[in-house]
Amino acid sequence: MNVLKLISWELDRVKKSYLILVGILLLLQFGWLGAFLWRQNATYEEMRLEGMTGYTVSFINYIGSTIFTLSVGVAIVAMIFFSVWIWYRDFQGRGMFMMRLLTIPTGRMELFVAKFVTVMMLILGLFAIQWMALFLQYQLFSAWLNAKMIPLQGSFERAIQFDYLAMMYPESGFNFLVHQVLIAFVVLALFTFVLVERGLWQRTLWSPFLAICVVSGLIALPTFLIIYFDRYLFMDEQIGLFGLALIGMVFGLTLLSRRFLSKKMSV
Amino acid sequence: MIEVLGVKKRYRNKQVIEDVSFTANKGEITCLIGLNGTGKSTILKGIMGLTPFDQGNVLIDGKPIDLNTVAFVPDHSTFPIHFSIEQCEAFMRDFYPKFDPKLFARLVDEFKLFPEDKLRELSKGTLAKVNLALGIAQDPDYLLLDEPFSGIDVFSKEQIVELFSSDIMEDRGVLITTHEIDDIEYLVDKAVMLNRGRIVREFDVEDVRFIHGKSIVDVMREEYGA
Amino acid sequence: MIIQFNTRSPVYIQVVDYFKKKMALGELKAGEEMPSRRELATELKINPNTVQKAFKEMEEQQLITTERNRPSRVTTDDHVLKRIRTELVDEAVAVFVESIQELDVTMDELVSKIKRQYGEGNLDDRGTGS
Repeated sequence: MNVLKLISWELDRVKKSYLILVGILLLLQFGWLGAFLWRQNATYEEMRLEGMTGYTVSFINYIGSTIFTLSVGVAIVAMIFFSVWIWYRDFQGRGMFMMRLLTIPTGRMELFVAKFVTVMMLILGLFAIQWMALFLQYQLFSAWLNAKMIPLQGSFERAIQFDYLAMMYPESGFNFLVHQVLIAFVVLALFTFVLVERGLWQRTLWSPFLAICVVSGLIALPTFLIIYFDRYLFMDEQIGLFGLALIGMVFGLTLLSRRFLSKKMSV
Repeated sequence: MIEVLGVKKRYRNKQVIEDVSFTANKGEITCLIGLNGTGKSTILKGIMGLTPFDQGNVLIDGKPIDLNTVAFVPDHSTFPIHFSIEQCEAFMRDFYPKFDPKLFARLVDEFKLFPEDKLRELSKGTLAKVNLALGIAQDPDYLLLDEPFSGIDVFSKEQIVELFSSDIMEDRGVLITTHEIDDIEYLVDKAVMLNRGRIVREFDVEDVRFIHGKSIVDVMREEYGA
Repeated sequence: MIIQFNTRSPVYIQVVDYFKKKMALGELKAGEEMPSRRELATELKINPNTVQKAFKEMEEQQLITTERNRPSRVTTDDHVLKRIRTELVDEAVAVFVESIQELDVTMDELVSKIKRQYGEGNLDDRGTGS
């Protein structure tokens, strides 16, 4: 019950920044879409006047453009930043809200779970918003080109197979799940980094580096193992080994986080 | 009873707490006295598990700490400054199962607080009262107070002192840290004196008055040479 | 009710002395109800445990009597009340004599000075108690 309350508490606190982020993303994308279409239109007109034909536009031109990529980059960076900030925020200032949070009687792991779920919810939220936005953008895109009678190449389905967008529009539910697990893993690693850094015995300027070493070491070791065994194994075995290593790492990171959060944390 | 057993703590190259053991009883007011920067706050935080000790152990009624029975009131607010008193209360109600809104309302009344005030608008004395109210309303068996009187105005001090001799504190064990005893000389049952990371005296205040004719300040003068 | 406490002697004894004085002066009459311990602690701004100790001391000296679940009352025993008065006077005189002896004053000089300071006339009515 407390976890739910904590989640709603965390969501409430981040609500404003999150809406601003979503606003920036949508503004960037729709603004750019307008500029993009206007430019296509101008080029098309120019070519038509010069008597050239065969000019086509594809939705991939839009989503492959620098600015669209940039907007997705902003979202990713924002989420990475937030995964760390959701903890550091509470250590800010002399007051230290973290003191309050750590003395909540129901246990510190609930705090961990709540913050984790909050970050994942925000990320999934961004996915959902991006899905809808992209679909809407395609509708606008095709409607505009149709109206201007500019030939449209390719389909929405083809376009979203493009590059990194495959992550957002996976081929199957299973793929989607795999992607989310990987994202969750990254969030977990970031959390572990913060907690190790905050719980180190002597907190100095070197703590962050030490914490990075601990966390990356924990991830690197199994990764090297996989790379090493890779060439001796068949596809199925590779996947199995990868899954095993992932479970191992998740286990390791969670235990480390738990130890540092409940026994080592110092405010 | 709070039992602090052989705790040690090191910061960087400094052994802040050398080897500290003492007890604080339920239903009594125990005062942890020490000059500034002698590790009093560290001991309270250590008892709460907010700063782990390097060595040693803390038992509350013979068991490891249960946060339902011990409340900690630091010398600053732990809520974001844009919070109102009401919002702090809402948070406490949500996450502290034993939080008693009736008791809180009574304290708000006695301290003459305005629930809609934001923390950033409050004077140091009023903030201290808010913190104390939030701590006591957790209805704890033990209450740890870090320097509740430092830097606050005379009237807030008086109100807080009055609270200690009222029924609100009945049967609770209180552990207070302070570097100046004047304000609470008559409230304290037991004094524990800390110097250079060690306990140098632990005594029943009335006994020392009765047997040696000494006030707490007299004993402090002996220890700290001030 | 204000007591100017001395930090060097036990607070509970000072509380007991305070009540003795009130009884001796008749401000608290025989059989009168004592204030509750809780009220007293709050009013004097002292530790409730100290008040508890003071009441226990007063009970032992038979200054007050406490029946189960009732407020304590000043004793109705006349002997006790008289004893308090003697005690207080003796104590005050002892303190006075000790400090005056250091000054090496003759009895005659002392008596005449007391008479003058005390205010003529008053001396005759008072001081005959016990």
